[in-house]
Amino acid sequence: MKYCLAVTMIVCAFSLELYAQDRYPDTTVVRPKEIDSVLVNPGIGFMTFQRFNGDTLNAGAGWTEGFPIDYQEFDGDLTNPNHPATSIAYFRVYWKFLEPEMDKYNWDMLDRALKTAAERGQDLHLRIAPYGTESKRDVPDWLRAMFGPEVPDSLKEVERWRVNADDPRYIKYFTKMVHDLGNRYDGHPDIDLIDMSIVGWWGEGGGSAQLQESTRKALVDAYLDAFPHTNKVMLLTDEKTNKYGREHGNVGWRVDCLGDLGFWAKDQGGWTHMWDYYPEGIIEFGMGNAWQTAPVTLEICGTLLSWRDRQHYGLEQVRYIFDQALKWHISSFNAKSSAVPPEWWPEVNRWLKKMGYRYVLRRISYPDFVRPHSRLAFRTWWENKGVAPIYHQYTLALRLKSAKRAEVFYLNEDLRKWLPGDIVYNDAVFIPVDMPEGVYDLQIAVLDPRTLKPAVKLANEGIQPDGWYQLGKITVRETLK
Amino acid sequence: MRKILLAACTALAAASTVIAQDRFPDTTVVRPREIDSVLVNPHIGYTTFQRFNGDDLNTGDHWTEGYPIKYQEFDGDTRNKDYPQTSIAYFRVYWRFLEPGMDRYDWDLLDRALATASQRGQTLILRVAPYGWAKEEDVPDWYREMVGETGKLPEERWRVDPEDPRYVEHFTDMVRDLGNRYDGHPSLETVDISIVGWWGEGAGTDKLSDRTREALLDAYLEAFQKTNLVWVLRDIKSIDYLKSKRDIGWRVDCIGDLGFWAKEQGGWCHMYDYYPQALMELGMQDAWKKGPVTLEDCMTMLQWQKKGYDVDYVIDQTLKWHISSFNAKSSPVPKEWWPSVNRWLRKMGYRYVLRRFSYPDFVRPDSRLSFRAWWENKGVAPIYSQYTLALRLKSEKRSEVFRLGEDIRKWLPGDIVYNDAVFLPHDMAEGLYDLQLAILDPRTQEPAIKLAIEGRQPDGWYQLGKITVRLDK
Repeated sequence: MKYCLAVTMIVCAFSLELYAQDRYPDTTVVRPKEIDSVLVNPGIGFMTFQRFNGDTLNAGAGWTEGFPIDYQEFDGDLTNPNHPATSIAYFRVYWKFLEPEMDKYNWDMLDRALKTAAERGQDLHLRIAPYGTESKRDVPDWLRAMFGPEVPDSLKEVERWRVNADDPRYIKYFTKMVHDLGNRYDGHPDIDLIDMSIVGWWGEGGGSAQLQESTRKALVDAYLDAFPHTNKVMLLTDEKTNKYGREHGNVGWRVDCLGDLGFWAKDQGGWTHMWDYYPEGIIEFGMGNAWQTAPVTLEICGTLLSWRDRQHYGLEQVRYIFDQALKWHISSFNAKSSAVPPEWWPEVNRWLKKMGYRYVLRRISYPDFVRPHSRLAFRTWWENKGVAPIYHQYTLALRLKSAKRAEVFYLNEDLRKWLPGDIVYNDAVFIPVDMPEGVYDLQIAVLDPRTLKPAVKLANEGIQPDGWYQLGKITVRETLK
Repeated sequence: MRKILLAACTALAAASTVIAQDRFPDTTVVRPREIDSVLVNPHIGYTTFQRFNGDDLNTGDHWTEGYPIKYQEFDGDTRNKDYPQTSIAYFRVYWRFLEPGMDRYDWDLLDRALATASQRGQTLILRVAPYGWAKEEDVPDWYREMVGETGKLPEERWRVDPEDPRYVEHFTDMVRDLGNRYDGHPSLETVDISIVGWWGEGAGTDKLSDRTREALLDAYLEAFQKTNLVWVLRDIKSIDYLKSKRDIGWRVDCIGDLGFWAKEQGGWCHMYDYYPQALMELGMQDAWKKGPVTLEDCMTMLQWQKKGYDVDYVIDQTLKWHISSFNAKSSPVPKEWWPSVNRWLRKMGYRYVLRRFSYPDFVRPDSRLSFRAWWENKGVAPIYSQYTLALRLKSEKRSEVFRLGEDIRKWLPGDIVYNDAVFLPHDMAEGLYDLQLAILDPRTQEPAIKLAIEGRQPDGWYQLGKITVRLDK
């Protein structure tokens, strides 16, 4: 404590600009202690895939996707053995399951996924893919009937298209589904983001570059128009599509083969995603700075087990891949609900502590006492030790709490602007005129703007059972005669 | 009811873009009933002057200003006799009283005014004027001592030379200290920028050097970044400068002058020969969209009446200028003029009528409750402070508030169509709920603004209708 005061005085001597209330001796200076643990926070970290917290993982190196979720029996235990605890569940499903008949939607399928996610403390990532491979993953039956049998690959415009994406009927019916989806779910608090899928097997965007300009616009616009409130990401596909999305909406990006250091290198002349596609694509397709306002969410190539057992990656490769992802400002990671090899946990935990945002409150100073109805000015220094900002709106708040009274002050700061690095945020609140005299706990929290309950954990000590962080004591004292 | 349904059907036939949830038969359409009463709402209406709700008025034709408030004994009754109920108190005080010694402030003077305003249900408009007209209304004694007696100045209404660098230094120091203490104070309504001239009315602003004028105005702009500022209609340079930096409102202080001094001034009067022209020539006619217009009466309304002025003419002029609040100097409203004043009060500032509200008859937990709302702002101005529009679903089991992202500062007079949606929590219990609406104070989250409709509940929320939460279709 002596050290703190000495520092304050030195600072004072150098800078006359400091607010009066930051001067010794009437100022309380708090340096909350940083903690090093992995924090499970909304919108960041690992995610479950076609399943939820507490569910059994995919066995071995395999996984399932695109089909309605097989709901597992839930015993109330949210822990994920061999997998990090998550705040996100990814659900990818083919169009045919959502719209089995034209204009007749199986909304229950999505409603149930959203509800289950909410019950398991997760938000949903959602992709409706137009189709996958093989007949059971085709476009909806009614659309297939309209188009007639699939043409042989050799006669297709793009091999990965199962119906011609430039056909007006594809555009009409696929975008109609997207609009109906948006009409029902745009802004849903349990949807973290929409994964914009427009063409290609699994909705991965194969052939995006070959789309006619009007088709590309229609397909991308459908998402931008239907989801003005929900965060959106597009797959890193090609310059035209990505730049169009970025110029017309605040879209982030994703890729789905993170960790490919040579899965198919033998057959592809040494080509790999991590060396020959992603670094170049991010820059060339105009996504380099997208992370400042929209999320980057990455999916694993294969599974972590296949990295180890088939690709024979060691710690060095894992570290390399994780560091690349951090450099690209990753917020969340889909490891396909496949197990983490035990020897890689330290690396995974290191990664989790950097993904997305991680707020450390370094210093807060405030007056030792305030008068009712007067200004409580404070100065804060924060550090975002993650690699990205937060992308949803939250409400930073202070609270004065005693046995007599608890008063919450909602601050106007937009946390979405808190990029990695230092944040200095100085502001003031005014104490109500009828605030009883006494000693109060001064507390801080990041609240969900709907429930006004603490929602984001800080990398600091001092968390109370109700989620608020204790900063120090402050005295309310009336001096007005 | 039949008529409503018919109307809904007709609308549907005409407009295929009407969104799905607005279609008969699954939609509840509510048309709240408008009320005609005068509403006492924050930031608008009459203001008390150097006193508060419940205090005795100035008597006769006179008023006091510029001196510390003489606090009257308060018996707990906030009603005003012969004066409208108000949500604003105006306090104008000379610099000498706030800063009796250099850098020594009598903050209690302002703290007490703010606290009293708050306790009487008011916010405070504040002007700290450098000096008044009389000798005992001079600059602070320590400043007078510092600069000595002032000789002849280019402006009759200056008591000290504003071009003296010490004036800028010490006056702006005070303004900055004021801002450091009060900027954003929830009980501080507006700061009335005052830089020179008797009563801080700005006489001779056009004679200031650019440097001095800008330094004096900068002090306010920098010190008050959260609190609304208003500036008197004076010269083009100060107006242009302020406009280049901030959305500010305006004020004038001689409303109703249809010829008080016309005899001596060749027929000249403020209402014909100054205000309409100044407003246009200074380019302030659209300022009301972003900053408040707050006007002060010329002399008192009793004197208007004695002169035989047409009060409705004056009222209609101010409404055309988008008045939000009016300082009648805590002088009585002439008895015969109450109908006119009440008409005025129903138009000043904002006045929100919710005309139509439609929403689905039932919703599922975890699903979207889309609504469409048609409002009318029947006042002449928007609101200038941030409030939170909110919906609430309330039953005996549960009460859930949904704060909407709408910025009602954009609700200019006329129609407002605001369609949006909220999502029910996944664990919302099934049952029948009251659907309610309110405009909340963003700090306390309590209802703060009255609407011009029926249905107000004891806790300030407005009942719209019933809505069913249920799991099945």
